[in-house]
Amino acid sequence: MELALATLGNQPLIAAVEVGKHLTWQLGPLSVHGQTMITTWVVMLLLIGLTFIGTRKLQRVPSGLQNFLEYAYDLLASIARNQIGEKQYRSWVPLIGTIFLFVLFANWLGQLPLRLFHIPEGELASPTNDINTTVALSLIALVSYIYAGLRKSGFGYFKHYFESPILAAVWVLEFFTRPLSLSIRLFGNILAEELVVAVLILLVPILVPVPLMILFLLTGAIQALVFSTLTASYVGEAVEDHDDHH
Amino acid sequence: MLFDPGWAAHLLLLAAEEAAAVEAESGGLFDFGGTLVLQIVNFLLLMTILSAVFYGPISRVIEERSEYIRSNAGSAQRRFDEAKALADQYEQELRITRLEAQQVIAAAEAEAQKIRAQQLAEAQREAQERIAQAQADLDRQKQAALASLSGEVEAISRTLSEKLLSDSGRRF
Repeated sequence: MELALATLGNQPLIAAVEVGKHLTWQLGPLSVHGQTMITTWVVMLLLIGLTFIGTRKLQRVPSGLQNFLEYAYDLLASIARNQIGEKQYRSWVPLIGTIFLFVLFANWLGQLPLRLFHIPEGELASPTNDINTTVALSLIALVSYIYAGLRKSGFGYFKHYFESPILAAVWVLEFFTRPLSLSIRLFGNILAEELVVAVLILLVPILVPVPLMILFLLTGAIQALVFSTLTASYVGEAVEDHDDHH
Repeated sequence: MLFDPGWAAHLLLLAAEEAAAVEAESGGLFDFGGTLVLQIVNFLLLMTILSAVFYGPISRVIEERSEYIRSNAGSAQRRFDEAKALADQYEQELRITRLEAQQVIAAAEAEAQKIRAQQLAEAQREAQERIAQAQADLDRQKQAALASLSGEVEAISRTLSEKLLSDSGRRF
């Protein structure tokens, strides 16, 4: 899909917005979107590098980067704790935290002028701009909370599917809508952001897109928070003690 | 010209056409494939590595610190309690000592009062004695003086009478 300003009068093509064009790599049987892979690896390297450097000399009295990382850890742990509960949130911090950090960095990476780096086809953008990424994340979330439910109450976790036929339909529907909404929400938001910025740059290249890009830093963070909080709340729902409520 | 609605419609139409064209080839917005699999692998890899270099160490250091603070606070509380107990004990002893001091003072005062009364009585008795003795001396001396005086009166009267008698005898 290519939106071109060439349609304005009969001017020559001055700029273009490209979506859905991929730099395709053939890895054995898999055909892979190269631009998504590259930006994903950049995000991974950033995260791993930052945390690796920050946790070299851990001290009882923290300073500098350690302070920051502890603050970040606290934030991630509080997302997990609020949704899953004091008793069992600890083992879920890595999953919830990694979802948050990955989505946040991926969203923010897309706000950099990646267009300056030319690749043979397509263009570099947020990895979350590729539906494969968001679906991958939501599948991981799905598997995680089903695993949590199974570990907590065995196949009793699926008990509520059989309680009443009408509700069963709702449950089955929910089973599909949860990952669907998780992935489409993130994908749609980030894609829309990139499109809006691209179109604005196309129309007014300077200054006008800046407030929007700042806004998108905020919405990128909110998307990360929403994704991780929802995952945590699904996990929390799967592991909560049902005896407390009946 | 930019806000000509026809332009927007044109653009949308174009977008739809292009999308259809691209979907027909490979690619497009909803091109699921190897990327999905690799992203799952990427994510799990990232989660594992971050667990090793981030969540693990950071949660450990936070845990250790809160443990350290807890134990420090515990020992501080213990020491505070000890100090408080010591202060209480000191206060108690001070109270007892003050009480004892008051008792000692009261006893000393009573003793002094007794001694004073005793000495006063002694002095009064002594004075009384002295007065009595002086009175007795005075009386004795008075008696002696009276006695000697009466002797002298006799002698003088005798002398006087002799003199008178002799004088009268001569005249006559």
